Amino acid sequence: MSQLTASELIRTSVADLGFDPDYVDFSSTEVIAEAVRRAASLRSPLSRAALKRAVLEPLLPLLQQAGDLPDQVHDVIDELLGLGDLVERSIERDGTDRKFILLGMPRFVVLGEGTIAIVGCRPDAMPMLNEELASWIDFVGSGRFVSQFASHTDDIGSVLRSEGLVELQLRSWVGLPAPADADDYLNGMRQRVQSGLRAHGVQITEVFDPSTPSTYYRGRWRSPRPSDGGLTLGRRPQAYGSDLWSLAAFQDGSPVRLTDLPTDADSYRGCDEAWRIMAAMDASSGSAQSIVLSDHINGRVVLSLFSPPPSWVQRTMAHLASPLPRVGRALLSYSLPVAVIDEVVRTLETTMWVTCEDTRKAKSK
Amino acid sequence: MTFVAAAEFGQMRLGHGASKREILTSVKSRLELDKLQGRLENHFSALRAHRPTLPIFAIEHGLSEGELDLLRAAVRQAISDRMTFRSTPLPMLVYATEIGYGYDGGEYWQTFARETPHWAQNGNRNALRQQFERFASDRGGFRPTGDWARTFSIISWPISHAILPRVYQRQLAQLLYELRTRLTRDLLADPIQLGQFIAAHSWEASERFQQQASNHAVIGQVARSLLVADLPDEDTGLLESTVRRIASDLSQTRDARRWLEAAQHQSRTAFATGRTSSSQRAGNAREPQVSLDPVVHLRKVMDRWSVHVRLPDFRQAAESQPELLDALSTKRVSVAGAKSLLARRALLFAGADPQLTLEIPLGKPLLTFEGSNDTLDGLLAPHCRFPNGPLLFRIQEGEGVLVKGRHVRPGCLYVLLSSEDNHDRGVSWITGREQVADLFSRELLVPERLAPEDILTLSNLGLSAQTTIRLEPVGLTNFGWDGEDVAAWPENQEVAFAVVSDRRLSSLIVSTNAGAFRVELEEQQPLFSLGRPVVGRFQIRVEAFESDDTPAVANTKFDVEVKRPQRRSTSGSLREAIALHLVPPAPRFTEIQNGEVGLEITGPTNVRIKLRFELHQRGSSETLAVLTNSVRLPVDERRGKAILSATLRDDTFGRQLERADLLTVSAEHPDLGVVSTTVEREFVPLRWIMSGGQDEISAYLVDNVDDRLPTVRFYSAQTPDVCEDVEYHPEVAVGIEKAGLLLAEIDDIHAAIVIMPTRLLNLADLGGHGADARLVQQRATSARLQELVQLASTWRSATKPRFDASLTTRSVLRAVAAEIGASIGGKDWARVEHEHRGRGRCPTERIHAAIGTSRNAQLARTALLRRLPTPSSVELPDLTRTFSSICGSLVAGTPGAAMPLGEFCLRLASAPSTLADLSDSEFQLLANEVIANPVIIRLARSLVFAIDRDQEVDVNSDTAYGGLVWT
Repeated sequence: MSQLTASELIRTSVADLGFDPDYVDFSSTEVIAEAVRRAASLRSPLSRAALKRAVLEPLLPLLQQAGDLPDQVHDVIDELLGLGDLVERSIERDGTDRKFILLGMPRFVVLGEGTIAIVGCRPDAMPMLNEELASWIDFVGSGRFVSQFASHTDDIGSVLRSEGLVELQLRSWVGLPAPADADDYLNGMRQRVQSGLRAHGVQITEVFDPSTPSTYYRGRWRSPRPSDGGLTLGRRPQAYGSDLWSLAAFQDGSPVRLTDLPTDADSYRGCDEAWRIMAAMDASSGSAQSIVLSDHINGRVVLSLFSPPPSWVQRTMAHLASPLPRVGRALLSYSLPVAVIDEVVRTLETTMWVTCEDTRKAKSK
Repeated sequence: MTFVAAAEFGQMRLGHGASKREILTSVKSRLELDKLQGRLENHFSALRAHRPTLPIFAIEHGLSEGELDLLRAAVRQAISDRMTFRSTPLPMLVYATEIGYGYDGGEYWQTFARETPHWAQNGNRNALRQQFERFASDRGGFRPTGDWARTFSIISWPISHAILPRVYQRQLAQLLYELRTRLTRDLLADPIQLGQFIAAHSWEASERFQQQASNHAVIGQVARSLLVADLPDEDTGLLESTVRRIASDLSQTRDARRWLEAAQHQSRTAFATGRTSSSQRAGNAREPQVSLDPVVHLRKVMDRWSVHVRLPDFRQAAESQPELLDALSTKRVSVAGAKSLLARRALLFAGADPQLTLEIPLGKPLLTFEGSNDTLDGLLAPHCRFPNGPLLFRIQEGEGVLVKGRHVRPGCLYVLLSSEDNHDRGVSWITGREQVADLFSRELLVPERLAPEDILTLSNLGLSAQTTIRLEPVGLTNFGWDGEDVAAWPENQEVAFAVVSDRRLSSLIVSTNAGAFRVELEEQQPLFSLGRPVVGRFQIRVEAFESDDTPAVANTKFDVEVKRPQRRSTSGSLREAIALHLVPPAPRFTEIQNGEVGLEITGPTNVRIKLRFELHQRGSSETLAVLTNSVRLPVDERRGKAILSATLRDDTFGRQLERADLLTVSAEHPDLGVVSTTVEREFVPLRWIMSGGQDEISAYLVDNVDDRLPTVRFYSAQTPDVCEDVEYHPEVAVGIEKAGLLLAEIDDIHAAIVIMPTRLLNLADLGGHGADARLVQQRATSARLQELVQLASTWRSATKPRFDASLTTRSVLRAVAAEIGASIGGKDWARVEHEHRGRGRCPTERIHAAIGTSRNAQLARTALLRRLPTPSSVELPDLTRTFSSICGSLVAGTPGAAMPLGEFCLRLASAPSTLADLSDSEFQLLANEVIANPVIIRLARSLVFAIDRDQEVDVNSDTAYGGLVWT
């Protein structure tokens, strides 16, 4: 038993997560991501709010000021859900469907060029790899990677398999949706809503306003107005857990028919479909969402996003890019090698109908 | 001289027609055996001298590869020549042991015969056993003991002497890898203790490995040898070349090599650092106990509060108590207050969370074994006790967490459960009264500011407001905190607290069972750490002081639990997106074959997954059969059982089932992952394998019982209680032309299979209505009833390789139940039974009339109709209780019987096979009571008819009647 200071305990906690406290602390995405994974592995299944609380509750008394840690934890949870380390799905419990965060299973994805992404978590805070192999893991943003170089072996896959990790094909992991025209996609969704449930009396508390600028995501949500009509993306509260994503046919400010997202629970999360619907609405109204390319050091390129990326974009980025601090008003920024720019832009154009603003001095072709 | 003698000997053995070349080969092999015998005698004598107290194993022969090849050839030749090994027993022992070392875990004698030409004609199993016994008594050879050795009295010798057959090596390496961080110097120093440790953790491994590990001395010795083999000055207790050989074979696969290397690394660390047991490491005076308290919590079910208990995983407790492990593996467990029993082995896995609907067992033991005695219940009683009342739950996100200290915090919402409901009427912040099982509940929204009358109300309810100091866990997230005064941490995590107080304090005294220390409070929110305590539970007590010279102004307690994390199973866990469970967990292959296993897959609602079933043979990479299925989640046990049954009865899949040793079930989703579980065929003394021809089915008996021949009998499906003797010759299949049950028996070992002709001859083969299985009619006596129960049990437990075998079995089981009804119920009732059997139903009025005309019969019938107007809608436990109480009005009682008469009678009337395990005395007592009061069996049968009429029988099961599925 001993008395100790907050900074001593922070250092111990950072070290327990596998990092050197001389270099990083709880302001680092890598440390937060590991803390979130650990919390989920000890407490899941639990709601998103409960996970956030489970991470913050024991940490906040140690910090002089919470700063933006709560927001960072929130964002990291989103990223881990996008990468597949965590999974948020509805589970039937006591006759009611409720959304819970669960652990993605321990898997790995060969990304190419001798790099492997580690996906998932083990329960009870058990390490993903044993004590000897743990040093192979390279933490980048919220993701974890193993490189051929660090592992000193030519068959990392076989070692990971013997550790109980299951190989996941890159294509299945990224899970790109089939390319579609934005209008066709919206029409398909409209038909689903028309054949959806009657929504009289259903309360939608927030709606997406496509007339707002697509460069400020948080400003695009507002309360419903009596003038709202037509196909509307919204969020509605549920008894337990985070708000549901819903797509509704509105009339005079109220929903008349509604379908909850995801419509394809086998493949995507509700937010993945919602963000794609937002992109389709923007594209369909002639103001497609934009991405910005700019110069970066060492011949790399900065790609800035202004709207949240669905899981396939996150995974494409995890595969090909490195996260950067936000540039300008961007929601997320990444650094990419020039060689993969075309592939990334094409993915965003075909699945999210974005327009690309290239501000680089020397444009790559 | 030698040559002449040998030539004569050869002629004598091979006959005078033998060629010179044959004689020469025979003589050479004899000479080689003599040489090898001499070589082995010297070697084993030297080994004995070096290791006078430890047993010697035949696998420690120390022969080179070349010598072994010669030995094999010489032994084969000698067997072919019909020679005995009286003067050269050691080469034969080594030969048999080498087969034991290399065999694939399947059938030993079949492997032996395959590798040894003429063994079937010339071999002598008993002579082999005698040679091993002599090796044990004369040379200090290892002597196998235990159930396995008793049942397999010959093959247990060569397999035990192989120390660790190849088939188990990978499993041992994996187990040592998983346990590596818990290997201590003490453990590594004592092979028996190490063996016990391995055996205690091997219950999830294959049954065959468990059998191997049950010999603690051997498994401990080989594990120790593998782990410390490269340490200088460490005598492993086994011949070095043998250890090297096992390690080398084990390293053939990359996984196993890496697992062993990692375990060896940890062992070296344990030796180098002197790592001892965890309690000593922490310096604690007493080893804390693993907590097995249930986690009591509240959930809303259909808008009403309900109490659930998340039951602990007993794995750790069972690891140190073999008798508890055995009981948990073989017996179902009853949860006080819950309706249904927990499946066998359910408590060895985390996740059981039954709802308590009948009563809340305040302060009582929560778990008891089904049909158990005081000794068994004594194993559970100290572990899992329900807390005393009143129960206070803090409500967060719609769930209630039990607050053990019964403190409330201002502004928070609670639910209180107590047996009284009269202290708080008219209190504005207490609302939402309702009944929860046998307790009263109310919701408490504690005011932000507590007035004196509020504090009095709390006190009357047995509660108090939070004290002026509070401890909050800080650092990394732990396993869980109730928000008040109980939290759990994983092993190896720093346990630290912040002290929160609304008073200005100068110091605290913090004490635990390890001692006390003073915390000087210079900071606003002081922190203290308990370091990284060992697994167990303890309490922290904190006293707060405002100055050094005044008494404590406040105190509080906090319950800390440190838990050992569980390793992840390939079948997933409740924390993951998909988890696949077989019910009961880790079932036997035969349980799967007999349709006794359910399948449960939890996961996101409505998500479609691919379910894949694969059959393999041990030691072969070839897949015998694959069947895939697409299903939506979640899959409950009942639906899973139907899916599993349908899969096993698929024509192609089912045909391979008999040949297979391994069944793997996996659930896959591209985004959520893959979970899987494998069931391995257990090693059984007798097993039938069926194969079909054009006109006739033949059944082949795999006989692992060494020295006795089984008797084989056949019971036709049309006359299921008439036995026909079958002439049995080892290694020769039995041909059968009609449907029925084939039974092989040796003493108390038996194997039964229901076989069906390839071409169905009549309806009886299928078991439809009117397809009469006829039983010999006899007067009802307790002995006759017991015979019928045994008959039903044999049919029920027989292997049913085909779907139609289940239909036939059902027909036989119905016939047995009808015969029981007819023989006890009397002539008039027998006519009802006959009519019901023939047409599939009988008019209700006719049934009611036949129940009886006596006043008692009329009253009982009226009571039955009044209390169970629609029996098919009543759950079986409630039905049994109600029926038992009606029986109680007819019969004074059956003192001395643990099973209520009503339940006995209902089981007898619907599923007599479920009474097969009842003791003879209890059976006779209850049976005589039923025979003396035939109206009871008529009532029971009338209930069975009524329920069967309304409930569909699961076509994939061989349950006799729908809606009466006894567990």
